[in-house]
Amino acid sequence: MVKNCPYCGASLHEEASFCPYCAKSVNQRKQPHPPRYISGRALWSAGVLLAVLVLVLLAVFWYRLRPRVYDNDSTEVIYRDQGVDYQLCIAWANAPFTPADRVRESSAPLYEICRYPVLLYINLAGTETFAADTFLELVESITGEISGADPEIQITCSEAVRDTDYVPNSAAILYMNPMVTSSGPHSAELTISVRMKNGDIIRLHQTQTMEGIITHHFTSDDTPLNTVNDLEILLARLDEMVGPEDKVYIHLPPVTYTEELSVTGRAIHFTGSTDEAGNRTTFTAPIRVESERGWVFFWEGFDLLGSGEGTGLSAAARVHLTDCRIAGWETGVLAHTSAWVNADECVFEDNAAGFCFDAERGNPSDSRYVNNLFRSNGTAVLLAQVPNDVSLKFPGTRFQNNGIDIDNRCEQKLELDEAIFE
Amino acid sequence: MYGWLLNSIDQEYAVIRVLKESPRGSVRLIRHKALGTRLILRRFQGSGEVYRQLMGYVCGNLPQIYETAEQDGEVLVLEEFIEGDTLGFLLEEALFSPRETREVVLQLCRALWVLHSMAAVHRDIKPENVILRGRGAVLIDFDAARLHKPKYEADTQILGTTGFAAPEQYGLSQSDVRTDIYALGVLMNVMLTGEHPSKRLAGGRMGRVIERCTRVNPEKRYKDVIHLMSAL
Repeated sequence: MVKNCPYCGASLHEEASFCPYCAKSVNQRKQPHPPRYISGRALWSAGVLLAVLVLVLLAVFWYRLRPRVYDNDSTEVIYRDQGVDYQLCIAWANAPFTPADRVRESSAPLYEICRYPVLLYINLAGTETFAADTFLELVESITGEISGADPEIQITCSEAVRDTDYVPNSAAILYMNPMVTSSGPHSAELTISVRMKNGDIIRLHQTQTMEGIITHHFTSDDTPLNTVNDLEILLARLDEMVGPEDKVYIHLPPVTYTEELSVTGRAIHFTGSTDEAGNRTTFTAPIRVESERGWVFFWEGFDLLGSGEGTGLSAAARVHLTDCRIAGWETGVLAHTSAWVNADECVFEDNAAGFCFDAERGNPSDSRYVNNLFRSNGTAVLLAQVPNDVSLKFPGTRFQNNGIDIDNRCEQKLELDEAIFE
Repeated sequence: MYGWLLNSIDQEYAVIRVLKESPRGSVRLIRHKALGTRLILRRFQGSGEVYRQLMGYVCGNLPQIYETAEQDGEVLVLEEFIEGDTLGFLLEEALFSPRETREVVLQLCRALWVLHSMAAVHRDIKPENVILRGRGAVLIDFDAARLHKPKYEADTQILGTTGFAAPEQYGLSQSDVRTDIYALGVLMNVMLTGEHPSKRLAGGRMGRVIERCTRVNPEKRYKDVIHLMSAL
């Protein structure tokens, strides 16, 4: 007997857990709590609920992070990445921040395969800041696709290329290669798809509408072309003879034109000739050409020879000279006002200034001046004002005995690696 | 301790009724002479280990064990008197509905969870060892209970009640918690049908639960009472 009951004080055995005298327990007891079971149905319901919750969360997660398609059925999309808004647009080179019209209207000679570029620009939205370099790091691919072409137009789209030498600051160039087989307007739909690395897809659309135009060839066999007066008569009658969008080639005989010639309006393509005796189509008085239209005047195969004064060719239009000889002028060729002039395989010699660019406006038709010869000019090339910052290239062009080979007053970008200075 | 307890009971308590008497022992209802408190006094030959451990617990579905003492293989137990009718008595009148059966068995599962958590097995679950006190069910009589000892491959004595005892209690292997699950399955079937499942298995979902409880291979039964509760 070594302990007493805490309730009644009775003496208890030292191992006692119960006091038999007052009938009360004197030991400590635990009250176990069986784990609360969850019925299978409840578990199933909870499982279903959990699964639904997970599915909802996954749906929300997927919705937030899913690849998205940006398509306004237009030439512009604003795409946001990491808080930055980018403007993707089909635009013209002279207005790279302004989306081009949804429908692009142009014309193409019948049954001739043409080629023209469609430009994609990527800018910081609302800031007129180019952003292609940054944005293209996020891009997986850029592709162009033609759909819905009228039966009268066959058209393909090249792979997208980046050529900032040709079109500075552009993100991509896609060349259209249409051939129209019937007169009148025909269209096809161009879709440019920009696939992002995160799976997003951006689509831009532009309808390519082309009017099939007819080509007319005039030769001395059927039309008087021996004098400037003949030419002026023909030019004056063209509007009556051909459609306003028709393409006109005039094949000049190997004669010398001594009067001044002025060409305005529609694009006229002059092609000179040389007879068996070596006589070659020659102009000895100035030629002036003006046109606000975007057509390029392709002129080839004649001489333009002066007597030391005046300007040989004064162009306020897009002119592409091939195989012409311009010699003996104060200024051989002057591109002014609104002009872009190219020259390939031409000879400029004995001019005070061979080729002079001083134009405020003008879209480049080509940035290359290939295989020309500038010889014995006071200044071979004078760049006072070039209406585009495209880099001018002179592959194969030779400079011989000029006072100044290139007077780059407007500090135009030049690539002279392949030019030859002798 | 044994002598001290026996003397104290003789002095302070009077026997009201002998509830059970057998060669293995007896169960008596006694009453405190002064206070009137009624208790159960068990005396039996065997091990009092399970009763001794139960002294440390309080569970509404088990009788409270107040005191145990052992001497020369005889065990003396003082426990709470549960006032109510046994399932066996009630089954003489009517069967139980599936819902009532479920409520009773869930409570027996809670009692068994306490036993099983101290590595004990009741080994004698039957209607006569379940008392309904109000809406509560209390599992009594741990005379056949033993602690599960992994080193024993088979039970050495046949204990338990024929029909409710699981096959392993006949020496096929040592009894463990799944032995009690077997007996619970039989009990459920008796409550629902009045018969052993081998004769007539209850139908419906309860029948499927009973069928799993009473599989011959213990491995195929519910692994513990928590799983059985979940199934119920």
